[in-house]
Amino acid sequence: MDILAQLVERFVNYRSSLYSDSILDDQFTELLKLQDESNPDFVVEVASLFFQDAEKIINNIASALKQGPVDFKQIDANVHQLKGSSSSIGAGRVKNTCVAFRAYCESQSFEGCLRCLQQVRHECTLLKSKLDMLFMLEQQILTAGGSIPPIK
Amino acid sequence: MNEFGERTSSHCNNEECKITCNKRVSLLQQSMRSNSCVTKKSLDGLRILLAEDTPVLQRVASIMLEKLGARVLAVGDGLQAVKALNCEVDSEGTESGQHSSNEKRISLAKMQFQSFYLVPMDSQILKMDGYRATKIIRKSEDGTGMHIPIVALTAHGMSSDEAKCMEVGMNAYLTKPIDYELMVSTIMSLTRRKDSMDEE
Repeated sequence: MDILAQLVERFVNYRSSLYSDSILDDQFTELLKLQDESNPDFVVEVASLFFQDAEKIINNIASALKQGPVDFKQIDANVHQLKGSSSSIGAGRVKNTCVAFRAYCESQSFEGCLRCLQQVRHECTLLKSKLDMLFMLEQQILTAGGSIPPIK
Repeated sequence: MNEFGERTSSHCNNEECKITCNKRVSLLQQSMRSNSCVTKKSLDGLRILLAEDTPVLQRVASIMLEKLGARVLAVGDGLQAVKALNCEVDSEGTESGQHSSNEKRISLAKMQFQSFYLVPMDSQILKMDGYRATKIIRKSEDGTGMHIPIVALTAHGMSSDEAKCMEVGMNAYLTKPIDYELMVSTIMSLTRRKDSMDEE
């Protein structure tokens, strides 16, 4: 198998694993469809926007949980925003964590919120490292003169 | 009236009528999805004011619309959306009672409303939520003959949210994450109707 074919196979397997592990969902596929010659870096750009936004939100939530009394409505509003943006880029596990997080906000469970904050932080970090790897594998294929195979 | 010349629930005088009108909009949106004919420049020439405060969603929605030929102005809160349409608000973000002369107000409104064909609006946007912004926009249209289509972008998708959207005068709603084809077919349907009403 030549080098390009190996790179493509590695990329396809890696990308599939992100979907099978629910790190990404179908909405990410929809984002890929919006990328074209006029917006070649669209997905990278949107991912970057997401991580900037997520960091701000996570910091807001962390601050809110340190204050007494805890404003669960404010935390819920932040989680709602994170849920919206994560679902829009197809960040499946981040979104699912936000769903659980909102339930703890509703029941005003401090411990539950704290656990979810840690979980959402972990999921965002994981997502970032996975996407960084995905984009790097993509770039390797393009540099080798190949093209990115579409998702089946 | 909605974009189909049908009575909207904002004009309904009882719950049964509201439920019927809302069901009609839901069915219509379902049929629009199945009859979708999205082409590359389906929204060519449309000027769209997008009111969405989440940067990621703003970017994704803008690209979705621009890919289909629309020109998008994105604003980050409901107050900016209301001001972009030249609705008069006081410093507290409520509709001002101090209007300029009626004639001047009408011509200003017509000029500004004609700048945009449609407004997709996050229902829970900051500073002034989509429901309140829509009420102000609709009030500003009084006496002008104008009616800018407003589409709610809501995270919830519950029937109570749907009812609330129609109650304040929104024309349709989309739930997040946005379904690309449904968004386009919704917009095409609303702007087609607006064009034919403007011609009358």
